[in-house]
Amino acid sequence: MLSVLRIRNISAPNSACSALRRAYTTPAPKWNTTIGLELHVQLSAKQKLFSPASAKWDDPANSNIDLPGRFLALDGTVQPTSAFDRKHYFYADQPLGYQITQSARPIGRGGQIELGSADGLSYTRRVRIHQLQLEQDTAKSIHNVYPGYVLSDLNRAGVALVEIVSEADMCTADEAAHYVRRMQTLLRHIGVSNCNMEEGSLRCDVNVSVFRDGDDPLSGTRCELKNLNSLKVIRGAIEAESARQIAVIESGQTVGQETRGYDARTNTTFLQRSKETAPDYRYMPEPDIPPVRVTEAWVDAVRNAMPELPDRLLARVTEHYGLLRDEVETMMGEPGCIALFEAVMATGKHDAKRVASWITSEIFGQLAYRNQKLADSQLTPQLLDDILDALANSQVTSAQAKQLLIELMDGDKRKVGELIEAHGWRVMDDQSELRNIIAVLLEKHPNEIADYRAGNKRRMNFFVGKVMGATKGQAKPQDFLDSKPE
Amino acid sequence: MDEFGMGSKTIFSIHGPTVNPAAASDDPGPRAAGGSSGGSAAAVAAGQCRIALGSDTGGSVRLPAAWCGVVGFKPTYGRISRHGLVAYGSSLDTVGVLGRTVDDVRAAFQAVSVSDARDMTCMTQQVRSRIDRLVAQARPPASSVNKPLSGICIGIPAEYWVDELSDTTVDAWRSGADRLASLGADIVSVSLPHTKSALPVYYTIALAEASSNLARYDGIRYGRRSSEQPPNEATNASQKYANTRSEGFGDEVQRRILLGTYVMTSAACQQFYAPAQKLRRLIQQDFDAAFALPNAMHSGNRSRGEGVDALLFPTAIGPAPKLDGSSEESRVEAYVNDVMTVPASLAGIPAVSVPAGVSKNGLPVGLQLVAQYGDDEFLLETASRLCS
Repeated sequence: MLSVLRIRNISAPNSACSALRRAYTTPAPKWNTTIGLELHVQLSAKQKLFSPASAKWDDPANSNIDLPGRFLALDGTVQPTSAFDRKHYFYADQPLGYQITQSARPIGRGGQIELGSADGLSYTRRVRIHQLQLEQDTAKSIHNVYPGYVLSDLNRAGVALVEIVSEADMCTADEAAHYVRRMQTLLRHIGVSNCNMEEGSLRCDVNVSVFRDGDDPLSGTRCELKNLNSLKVIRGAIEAESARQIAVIESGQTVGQETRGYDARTNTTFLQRSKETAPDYRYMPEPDIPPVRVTEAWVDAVRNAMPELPDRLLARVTEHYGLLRDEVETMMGEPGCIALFEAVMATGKHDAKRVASWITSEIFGQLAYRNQKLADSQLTPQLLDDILDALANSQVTSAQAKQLLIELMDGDKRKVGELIEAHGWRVMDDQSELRNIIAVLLEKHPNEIADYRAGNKRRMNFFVGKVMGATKGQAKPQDFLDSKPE
Repeated sequence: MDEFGMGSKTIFSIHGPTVNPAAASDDPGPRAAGGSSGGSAAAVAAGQCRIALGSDTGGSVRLPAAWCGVVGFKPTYGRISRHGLVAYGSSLDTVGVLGRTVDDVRAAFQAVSVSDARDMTCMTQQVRSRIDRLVAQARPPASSVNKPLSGICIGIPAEYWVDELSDTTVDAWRSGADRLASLGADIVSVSLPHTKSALPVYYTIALAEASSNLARYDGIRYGRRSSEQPPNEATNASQKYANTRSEGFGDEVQRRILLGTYVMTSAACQQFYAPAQKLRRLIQQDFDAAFALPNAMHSGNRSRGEGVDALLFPTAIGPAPKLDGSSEESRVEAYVNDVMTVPASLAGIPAVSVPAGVSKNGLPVGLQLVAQYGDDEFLLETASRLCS
């Protein structure tokens, strides 16, 4: 089933000599890594999972029960009957002494993500989804604020979380990172989560084991790396951990089943909990919550309400508007962006390349500067259409168009036309006035004229600058370049 | 009541035991009120109130009702919302009603038996309507005035005929059956073969759930917190939990949490908890086989079959024991008191205990009527006739 990709041939430092010796005699053993991921995805639901309490302090109550159903986007199946379990342990991060989760009867099973050329791989790797379970998030534990104390923020406790458990189908740190990125794109796109690793709305645990060429890929003892909170950390932790396990085995010891953490500063993993000290979670069926039954009609309704999935969207937009794949992918990275693009394109007035480049350079630049999401900005298709119209009709220069964008994103409620008027902007399209200005300039700078006439064509830039200065930037360079010095 | 509803005598309380007010004045010593809702039963028996609420997980409303000589009703699981009730065994917990007469109990029950979105195990209006239709189809209203129970079949389960039953209790059982027969009911013997498993199954499931439900009292978000400083930095957190929970919980509660925790551990789960869940289903199926009315939870819309309408058997093996400890039993024997009441709890079916006379030294004896899932109204109707 697994076409094993050879990824590393690491000789641990303390066995470097023996590895060298082997290199001359027998081929060195080739080590491979097996990786499975558990992604914890915080649902963008307004309410907590089993409580009417708001999941976000300022949101009105609302029901979002179709959110888990949208995981159909992974091509798995929603189980007709799923049920909740209690997982017990004492820790300050959950107020009940147990977490409500799903183990034996999860809401989703199956599905996959296929990694390939779109991810920059020269091969395809199918990562199967084992199961998808709904559970309660824990409280946020805050360490090292008050020495000797751990602070608990219970606002997060009970917020709906989906854990996506992959099969151990990945073989490199690179694949794991691509898998996470693809999942992020997909889940943001279908609107179930903002999947922000820094904010913790996407958290990742990784299971790593190693095996020699020819062995069963699942034969190694796996260690779980907990709470890896960026793609860089995921990569680093997997590489450090597989190197550690290989070193352990090559030194003649065995890898123990452990939960480990990763220290990015030293690029090493460290023991958190061994199997012997692992808590007994005493799983039991949650007696306060009846099983969840969903009908086929409900599943169909969710499926039909699902937005176009990223792969199809990418193909369609690229082809239909004649854009580059990169441009479309960049736009897809920002939720709501493709909708904005298509709404502006629907006016039938604008060139696709121009709109896309305006969005990805000017608008994204402003969003980045403001640290803002498109969805939270003041920008509407109408405003963008108006700006691009003004630009196309030569009412403003591109510098002024950017200024308009800034003011509109600052929250100026005036219409584009009103703003242009208020600024007194108006591209100088009065050719006779422009001629007068140029005539004055030419009279003032006879030496530069002579230089230009003598063949120094770059002197033109000098005059362009002078004209723009004299007109306070309101002239369009193209206009007077066309009316070259006669 | 007993702390967290854990007890059968209302003796495990920081306020001291509840004394049974129904005992005769020449009785040699204070008697147990029964438990865990002994306070509710005693208050009704003493005339302090007409009705009282109690919680019934394995008999905590019915047993004190029997010992105090009042009516105690445990409705079908899910009839009354558990919102606001401190959970003991969530899959068994019901809110029950106690009163001097069946009619009072019935009126109170009808007022609180409504759906509640805050308790997911509380029956929705849709489920209630479905049960009502099922019951209406299965049983025509009584027609004869003199023989109101004609056409009704009452079962006497053989497995409840245990050696420990007191003579008074056996006599009360006999006269109860006679009374129902005189009202026109057919009295038949039935068998509920898995009854003998009910007590261990009950204590496995109830205590497992209790250990889980009480886990929240760790002194952080809920419950008091021990002020004792653990000596060793390394075991700081777990020692703090241990101190807090050892100080906060009473002995009986700690005993039950430990037992419940044990049966859930990965080593013991397959030996205790998993088989208990299977046996629970068999016990419930015994009842389904005995009743003519199909179980609305499990049988879809199957129409009325062969079987009985209700079962009649004692609520307790004998009248109230003394509080002073002269009738001291072992801890295991104390649990045996629940043998008559836990099967209905495990099956989630309605059961009512009604006064059925007194023993020769003046102590009340109770008889239990038990009916199919959802058949609460019929059960109360029959109980009312038995008492009339």
